[in-house]
Amino acid sequence: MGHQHTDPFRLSHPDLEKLNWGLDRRDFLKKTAMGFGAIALNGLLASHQAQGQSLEQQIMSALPRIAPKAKRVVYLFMSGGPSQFETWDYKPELTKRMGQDLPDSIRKGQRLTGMSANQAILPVAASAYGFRQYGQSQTWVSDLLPYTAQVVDELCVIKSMFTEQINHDPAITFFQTGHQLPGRPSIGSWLSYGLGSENQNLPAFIVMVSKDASKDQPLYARLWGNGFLPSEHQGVQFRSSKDPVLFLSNPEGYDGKDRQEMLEYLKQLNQLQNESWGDPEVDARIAQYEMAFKMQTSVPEVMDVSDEPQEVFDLYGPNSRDKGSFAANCLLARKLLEKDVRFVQLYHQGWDHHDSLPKNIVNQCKQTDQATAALIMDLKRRGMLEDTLVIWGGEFGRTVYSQGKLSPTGYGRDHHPKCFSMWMAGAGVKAGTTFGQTDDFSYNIVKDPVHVHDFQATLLHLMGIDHEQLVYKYQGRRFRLTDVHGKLVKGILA
Amino acid sequence: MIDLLGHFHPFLVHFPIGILVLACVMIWLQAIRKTETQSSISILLLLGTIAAILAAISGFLLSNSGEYEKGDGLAHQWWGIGTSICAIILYFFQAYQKIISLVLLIAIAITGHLGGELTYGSNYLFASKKTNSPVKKLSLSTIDTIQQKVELDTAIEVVRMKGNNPFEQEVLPILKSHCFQCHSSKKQKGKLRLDTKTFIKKGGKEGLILHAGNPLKSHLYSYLILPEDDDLHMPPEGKKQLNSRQIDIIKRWIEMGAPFGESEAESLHATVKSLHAMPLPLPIKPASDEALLEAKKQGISISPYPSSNGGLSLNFVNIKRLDPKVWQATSALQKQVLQIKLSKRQDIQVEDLLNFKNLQQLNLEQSNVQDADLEHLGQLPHLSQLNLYGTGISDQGIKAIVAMKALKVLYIWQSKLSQEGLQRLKTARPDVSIVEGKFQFSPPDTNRLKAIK
Repeated sequence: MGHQHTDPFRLSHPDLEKLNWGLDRRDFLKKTAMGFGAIALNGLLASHQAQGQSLEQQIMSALPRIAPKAKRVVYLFMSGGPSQFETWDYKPELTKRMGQDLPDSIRKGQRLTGMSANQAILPVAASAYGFRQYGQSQTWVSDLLPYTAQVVDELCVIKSMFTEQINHDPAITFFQTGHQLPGRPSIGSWLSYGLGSENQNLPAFIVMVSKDASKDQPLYARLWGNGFLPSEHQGVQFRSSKDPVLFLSNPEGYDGKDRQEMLEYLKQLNQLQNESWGDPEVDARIAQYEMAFKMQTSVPEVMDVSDEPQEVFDLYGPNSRDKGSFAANCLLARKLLEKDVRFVQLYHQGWDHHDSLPKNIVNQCKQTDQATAALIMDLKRRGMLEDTLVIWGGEFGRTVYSQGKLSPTGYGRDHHPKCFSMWMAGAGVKAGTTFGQTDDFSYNIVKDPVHVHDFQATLLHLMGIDHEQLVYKYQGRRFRLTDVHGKLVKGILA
Repeated sequence: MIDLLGHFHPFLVHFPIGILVLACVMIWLQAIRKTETQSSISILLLLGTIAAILAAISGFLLSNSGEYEKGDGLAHQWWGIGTSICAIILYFFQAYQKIISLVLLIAIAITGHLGGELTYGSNYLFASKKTNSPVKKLSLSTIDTIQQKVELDTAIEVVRMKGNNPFEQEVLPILKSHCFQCHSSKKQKGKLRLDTKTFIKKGGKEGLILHAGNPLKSHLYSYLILPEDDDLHMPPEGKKQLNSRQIDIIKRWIEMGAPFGESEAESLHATVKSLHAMPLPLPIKPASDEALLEAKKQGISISPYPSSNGGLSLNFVNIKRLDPKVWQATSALQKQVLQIKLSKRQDIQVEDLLNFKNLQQLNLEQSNVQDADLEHLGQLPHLSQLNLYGTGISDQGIKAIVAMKALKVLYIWQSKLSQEGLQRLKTARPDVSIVEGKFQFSPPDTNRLKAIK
């Protein structure tokens, strides 16, 4: 839509005037190509609405359902690629090899990024921080995560994650959408499409980005985009500014009394448009207006933390009163999950430590460690951890060798897709376990590799969806979150 | 190679039938019209005889290829050989050719019919042949039909299995009418038989056809839903096809775990086993679609209850007021509901919950429940998890909680329970894990946050 044709291209007859207004070439092709489908779809929607169920729910209810272990997910995305060496993958052998060139038998000629490929040597860098064993599970945890260490018996640490992407944007896009190129729906959008919204007053997919992180790598709204799914399934970003959701509150000077009436008329107009147009996006538009109206009351209510007792703020740590910080977002995430929001995704940037890693990672851990652990305990004591899945992880790992000069306390690490660590906790996951194993250099996986698609398949499984069944047909192809891949990681299922 | 020759049988049989029938017709025409066409008749008889012999040989090879059960096409085989001999006699004895040609015609007819029965099934000649004709033209008037088809394809209507032996009552009749022709005692295309449990479990040339619980991995189902022109589609193109309901029955049956209806001892064993696995009254009869829809219409969120077969979890987060209408809408789900979530509600009347006799888990946190309500909840015999944090429950409620026999987990923090009361509760019910919600991190050792030098 959008561009205007000049008159010679247009038919000139009074009866065709409406056509001239409405259809340019592209729209015409779009409309006629989908004409029959659209009519059928409209019919379907009408009949389903009559039964009080969305089309998606109908389709899903017809699919073979796995009884879901998880009803909600909170995904703490550590953007930038946290180093596994200073967090979860304890490699004591490396201290002996400190400064030695990385053996070819380990690297096996793997292509490196342009940032470290031209280094004369690839000096092995051991973690500058110690590790200790915690909990009944005796899991090794870095000294940088003293709070998460105290809840380690709730976690299932996966040390054998691997991805196919070595750069931030393709890697994070791959994690979020199952494909390295932009344009496909995010995990949360797939879940919103597949399962619908449990709480009709809040979106099924909500995103929050920490404001206190260093923004070393950018995040784009398409990472929580709906791709080709109907637009009401896109992730809605909640912000720490005066308006948590942009353009949601009434404009200044307008009291909003006739808002509902106005939206009702707008809906009628949209429905008229829908009847002559048959474009499913009109339905999405109607749904979004309705949701926005409900959110005018539901969002301020859920964002209000004033009735939380001091004890809760103490639990989440000193930053939890600072709106927009990771800690405050964790607390909000708990509130959203209590309201049965299906998928809450938090992003915390700043993990891309190409240099001065020992210095920078301390601050990253400080910002996230306590609130992460608090979220787990808070969910647990509310009886919610048993049906909420908590996920922590980045888009890839980091290299065992130092990028740039190595000194005992100063080194950097380059991107490493061949192995990295993440953890899951809560619903349906084996608590207090470690899955997978890397070699002594945490360079290659020696046991139980878990591909990104496997992770996604497992996530969907825990939510009660067979990843091979959640399919959306677009441009003649049937798309899945896991594309044509993905195996269930049975070893981490409780 | 021999198999290949055998496969030419369906192609070769047409020649003797055509040529020999023509020869017989010409013999009688010659006799009636008194014309001289004997030389042509001889050529036809020679060609027809050779063709008949070739057809007989290829047929014999086909019968030995393993695709057919031994002895199954015996009549067809001997009639075929007989036909060939008859053709040879006819070729050499012109004197009695009128009589012999009649015999030959009858032999051809019988052989052909027997062959047809082998391929198309024993009653193909008189069975009515109904196939779903595809919608040929898209016009406005057919759109309704297409819509209906789309609705059928999205399988809104969930087929339910009847009776206690769905295999015999539902699945077997479908197999019998659509598959036995080629996959039974008569014939084993792809070395597959579908007429008894043993054979279905054994599978065919390509291995197993049944993966209990997974229809898409089971060829028994997946081949049915391939496009009709796909080589693997079953039944093959042109044969009587299954309708969508029949396909759905097969699918549901496999999803159910493909039960063949065990002997009494087996099923008893299964029940005992499942009773061990789950503490609750079993099995739960799945809720009907109408009942689910009725509750959904009221705005109640319904999801399957984890690790239960047919159990449901209800969430009232979207309900504005808990009026009788809402509870009325759930009346048909009372047996299936294992969890009810009423978090933060201030309008709960616990009497409404007592109809859900199988309730295992009840979320009443931050709600208006009072000590007096707990005694009512004691009437729920299977209640094992009770969430009461942030409520007005005080020491007065302890007695009722202690009396809840099935209780295993209790969330009771931020309530009005005194320390002394909590202690009493713990002593009285050491088997219940009581979540007190008091959680504090031990402060980290900041020295360890410094990098190792």
